[in-house]
Formats: sequence, C-alpha cells, structure tokens
Amino acid sequence: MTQSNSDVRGVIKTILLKQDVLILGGGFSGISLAEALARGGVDVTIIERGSAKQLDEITSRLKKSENITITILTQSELVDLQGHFGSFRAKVRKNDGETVELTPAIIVAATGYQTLRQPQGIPETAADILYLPDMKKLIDAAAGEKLFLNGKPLSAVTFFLDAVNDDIKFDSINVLEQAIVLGSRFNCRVSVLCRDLKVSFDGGERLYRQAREEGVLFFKYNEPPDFHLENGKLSVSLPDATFPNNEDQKEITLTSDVIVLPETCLPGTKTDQLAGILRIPLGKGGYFMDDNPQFLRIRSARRGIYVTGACRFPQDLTETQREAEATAQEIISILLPGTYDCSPVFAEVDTKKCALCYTCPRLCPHSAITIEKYAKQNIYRILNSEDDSMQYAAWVEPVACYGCGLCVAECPAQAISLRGESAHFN
Amino acid sequence: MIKAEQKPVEEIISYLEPYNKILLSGCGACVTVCHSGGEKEVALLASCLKMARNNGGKNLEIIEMTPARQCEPEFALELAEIIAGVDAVLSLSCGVGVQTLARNFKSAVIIPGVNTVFMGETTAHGIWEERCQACGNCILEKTGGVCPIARCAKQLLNGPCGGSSQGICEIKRDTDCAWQLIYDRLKSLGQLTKLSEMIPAKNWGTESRDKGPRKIVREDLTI
Amino acid sequence: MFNPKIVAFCCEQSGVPASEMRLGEVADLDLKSVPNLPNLEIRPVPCAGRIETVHLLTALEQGADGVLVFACHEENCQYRRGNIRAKSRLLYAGTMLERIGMEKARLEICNLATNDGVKFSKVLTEKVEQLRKLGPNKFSKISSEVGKE
Repeated sequence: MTQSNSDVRGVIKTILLKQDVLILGGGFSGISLAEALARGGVDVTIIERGSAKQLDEITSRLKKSENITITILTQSELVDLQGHFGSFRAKVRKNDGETVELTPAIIVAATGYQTLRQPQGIPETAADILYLPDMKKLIDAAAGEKLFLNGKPLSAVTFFLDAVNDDIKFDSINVLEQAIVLGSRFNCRVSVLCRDLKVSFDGGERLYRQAREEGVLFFKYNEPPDFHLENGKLSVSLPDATFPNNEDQKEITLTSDVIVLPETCLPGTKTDQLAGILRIPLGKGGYFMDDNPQFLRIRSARRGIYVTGACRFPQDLTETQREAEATAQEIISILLPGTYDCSPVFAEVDTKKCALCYTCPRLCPHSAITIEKYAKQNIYRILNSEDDSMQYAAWVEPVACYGCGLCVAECPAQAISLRGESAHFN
Repeated sequence: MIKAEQKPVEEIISYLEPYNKILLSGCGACVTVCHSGGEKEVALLASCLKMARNNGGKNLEIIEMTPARQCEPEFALELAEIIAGVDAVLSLSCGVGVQTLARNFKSAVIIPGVNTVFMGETTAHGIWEERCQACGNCILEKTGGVCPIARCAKQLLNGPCGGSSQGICEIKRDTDCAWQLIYDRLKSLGQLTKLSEMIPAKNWGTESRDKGPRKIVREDLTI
Repeated sequence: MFNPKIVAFCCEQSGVPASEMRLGEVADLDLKSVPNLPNLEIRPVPCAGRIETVHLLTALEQGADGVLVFACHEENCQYRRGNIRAKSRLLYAGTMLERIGMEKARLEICNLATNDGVKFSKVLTEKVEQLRKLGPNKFSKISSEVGKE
C-alpha cells in the first residue's frame, strides 16, 4: 500500500515578517484587537471609514499607557490590495482623495455589521411594534410597577424571534432578560415565539429557567405564524408545537398590546466590495467566510488575512472580545519569529505553456494566483525561446499557496506542476 | 475567440474504424482556452479511444501532440514527420486547423474531433456565448456595442420586433432580447439618438459571406 | 477467485486517515469481514481536487478493474471546493466511459470523514463484490494480465 507522506526535502523559501498589522475597522472588535496586538509588541494601523469619535477617546487613553503604537486613520478606506502574506501593498484612500500605500504583513477585517428594522410578516398598519433596543429603553426609563407605551398600559407582550435572524445569540439574551423583567417587575403576560432558543452562552440555561419560573410562555413554530389585527390589536395564531403529534396540536391565538422584534442583522455596507478587494470569499448570509467554523474561525481562505467579530458573524460583546484576543494570539505567534517558512509543497507555472486562459486565478480557493507581466511589454510567446521572461503568464505565489493541487489538475495546458509532490500518477 | 465543442466520442470512434495508428493533435490556442482541444483534452480523449478499441479486442496506437496553433502553416508543418508515419490524423483544432493540415498534407487523412460552434465571449468560467458572426461590416458603433446580427434571433437591424417579454426573446426563451440590450446600453451612454440613424439592409451578397469564401490581401505585407 | 484490481485515490484529509484506520485500530468493531485485498493500490493526493480527469481514465486503461475516489464530505473541503471539482471531473469521465460502453460501477466517488474507517472498509468490500460480478475490465490494455485468474 502506498503511504502518503509530505515532502521532507527541506524548505524552499523563507520570507521575512515585519511586526506590522493593518486592521480594517475601528469599532469594538478592531480596537480590542489593536490593543491586544500592541501589547504583544506589534505595530498596528487601524483604518476606519467614519470619523469615529470613539477613536479619539481610545487614542488619548492609549497615549497615556505603555509603549503602544497604534496608528489610526479615520475617514479612510481600503481601495486596492496587491501582494500576499508578509508583503501586502494596501492602497488606502482618505476622504479628501489623498491615497497612501501601507505595507502590512497581515491584514484583519473587523468591519462589523449593520442592523435594519424590518417588520417581517406583520401587517404594516400595526402601530404596536417595538424593537428590542426600544423595549430596553422603555424598561430602563420606567418608574413604578406599570409600563406604558404611548400612554397605554402594557399587560401582554409578545416577542417574535427567528423570522429575520438566524442563529443570533444576543437576540435570545436580550429577549430572556427583558422577558424576566417584564414578568417579574411589570407583571406582564409575556410570550416568546421562536423556532428555537439559543442558550449556549454563559448563564443561558439559568436565564431560561428563570424566565420559565417567572411565567414566561415559550411557543415554538416551524412555519412562520400568521399575524393579523383583531379589534385594533395585534393577534397571532399558531399551532402549539409542544405536542409531538400534529393531531393534538391545537391552534393558539395570542393577542398582545405590543409585539417586540429583533433588529435584522446584516453584513455591513460594502462588505461584498471589500471581499472583492481582499479576494476572500463571502459565506452564509453575506458575511466574510471563516476558513473552518470549528477551529480556524478567525482565518479567511487567504493566508495572512483574518476576519474577526461581527463582520464574520454578529455576536455578543464577550464573544467578540474573546475572538479579538484569539486573533491577536494567532497573529503574534506567527509574527514573533520574524520569518515564515513556506511549505515545500506549492504549485509552479511553466510560463512557456501558459495559455493565459485565466482558469487558475478564477479557481484558486486561496487567491494565491495572479496573471503577472514578466516583461514591460506584452510580447507573444516566442517559439522555442530559452528566454521565458518575455511574456505574460500565471504566477502562483509560494507563500500564499496551500498545495492543494486544484490548479494543477484544472489547467487545460497542463502548465502547472505541484513542486514537492510525492505521488506519481501514471 | 473561436469556441468549439468536442464531438460525441461514438462519432469519433466510427470515423477511426479503418485506422490503427493515428496522430491525435490538439491546438494550443482557442480550443485550449475553451477546454475542448488542448493538451489535457488530447490526453483524455486518447485514453478513452484506446480503451474503446481494447474492448473490441484490438489496439489503437495514438501519438499525442499539441502544437501552439494549427492554423499557421509553419506550426502545421512541424508535424510532418509524425504525419508521415500514421494512418490518419484526428485533429481537435477548429475547422481552420483541420483544413490547414489538409491543405499542407495532401495525402493524409485529417479527421475533425470537435465541432466549431461560434465566435464567442467567456461570460463566466465554463460558460461561453455567441457574440460575432463575421458579417463583414461591423455596426457595433451604432448599436452601443451589442451585435443584433449575432444576438437577435431575427437579425433585425433597426429596432426590436416587439415580441420580447421582460427583455427576453420570444423565439429563444433563454436569450436576452438583443434590442433591449442595445437600448439599455445606448441609454446608459447617453446616445439614444443613434437609434434614429437608419442602418441600411445588409448586403449579404457583396459585403458578407453569401458571396462565397472571403479573402483578405495585404499587398504591403506580402513577401 | 478473481481479485479485482482497485485503484483508490485517497484525499490526505479524509481518505488516507480513514484507510489507515481500517486495519484493526478501531476498537469494538469486528473487522474480520474486511476482505483480503492484495490488489488494492492507494494513491494519496493532498486534496481530491488534485485528481485530473485523465488520471481516472488512465488508471482504468492500465489495468484497474475499478477506480474509487475517497474525498471529504461536500462543504467540508479544507480547500473549499476541491471535492466538488473532483465530483464534476468524475461525472465528466463517467459520461465519456458510458458512451464507450464501460460499466458505471467501475468508477465511483465516496465522501467520508477523517475517522470513518468503517465506511472505507464497507465501500471497498461492496466494490469488490460488485467488480467480481462484472468480471475483469475488458477495456484495459490488451497486454495487461493484472487481476485476471
């Protein structure tokens, strides 16, 4: 039986690494990451699209602390990216049109997300809709033991989850916390409609139990329930899915004074544009795709580019903080040695055979291939020429290559070979 | 570029029946780029043809070559020695390459392995669409860069037939109405007035293919 | 007894580790049913996406009675889409082979996980049975006698 073994003939190429990281986005995620990196001795530059007043506070705080060098460029945006891990060339344009080129070793996208208010499935004429942040404000501002909305007392509140968001934990957290207060302090009859309830966060199960003990009613649905107006009040009908047999499931109708909805979470504006500039793929929902959600969560498909925080997936602040620290840890461990040994297994293009069909740059899952000009002019291939510097051809960057061999197999001219490959096929 | 599609392998096998030793010649240009006749396709087809022949208890010897282009006589002549030693040539080049070989090797059997389908654009990886029919007198300046000869099912020259629905052609339901595309393009260029310029009826018989095979002669270039 | 020659292209992320599991390293499982496979040739690849369509055909041409590709489950490819490219190439090869009359069972792809030694054994066992019924590959090189009685 042929054994598999990776080539151990030795390292082909070593690159130098500067302790220099570019972070896209000056929000909570970007700032947490920047501080963690700077504490680890890495030079950090943050570029932030907005004016971000919160960054002024951070900057002044950082100036007072230890030897932390974080450069912050506000009203700036990444417009172009060339190069690869270790030697990126990032073109940043400021609002006044001036551009500057940065050369980080590593880039991190921490561009966050956005929220919209979309009352899905609810009749638009209904006035009694609140969103979770509004309800929180209402609760916080209330005095006494009765809650009022627009002068009306609230006695029946229904939370409607999972219509617009999928798998967002902080919706659950907010709903449970608010439901408990509404039930215990304001004596409301609280119902929660959901597909399932996410409690996989610290104290989640406890919170849920507390809500149940408070008398909060939970109704699970498979099909989105039917909202309608009944005597001017919002009413919803759905089968009671707690009974496993469909025949036993009676239809329940709940009438409430107000329906509370979560805000819809969406990828930040221009996320898809940024993905194109960074040449990293988008995943489910249009957020940046993580390389492997189980254990390579903050890596993108491209070596040297990371994605962290809500731009990867909206999460609550503790998780975002943890992710930022994990990202910092990974980056520091890579940058600290000062050099990086490329894998001995990588793809190589025979420039004499390359037909410039563009198959490999399109196909490479790790964006490691570009079409490079080898000479100043585009001169057609000279037959039998020993001088293969006179043409365009595809170029696989060894440091960015993962050695998967997809390009090797797909090249129609069989112009690519996998250096360091141990298997023989014919 | 020229786009071609490999012929069904049963058809190729039937053409090769009388022959036991062939040259399977790809082409490094258009058919490589559209993945129908490049070096890889040559290797794949060779393996398949040999296996089909083996199944019948016989052998088929195949020499595999992929010259840079088959449509230039010098490239074609590079194959001379090999061609002399085989029974037939199976060429995966476009129709031009096949005929170049035929003209330069008067006593060699040259068999086409692909169908030359159209001149087209790569609209996405693995997807090619017809764009040009070599009508001989390009009117793209008047139509905002969208060709009604290649892309309109009725080859209308002065506006839509009126049968399109939501921008889709009434004849070919999977095709965009070319005149809708022309209108949209001219509008985004701010050149809608061009639509009022009459394009005269095409002279297929004098400026296009209906006058017989065409020829270009550059006196200044001839050696 | 006809021992069909099987060439198994194994992805190093799934097929290879699974193949290394089958030889009794898995506790609590009766692996006595795994047949003796003297004619199994494993060809490791970094990713199933490395396998070229022509490799599948030349393996059959040069005497394999059956070709198997072991790749990661779809959506689980370490390199995002290598296993899907492999599947497309297999489908293309399969169409060509069908047109020259080769039996479909001689070329197959199997998706499995890194620790799925059991599935690896099962698929191989079933394939051996299938190929025994089909008999030796008549499409391979005429001079080749490998795997024939």
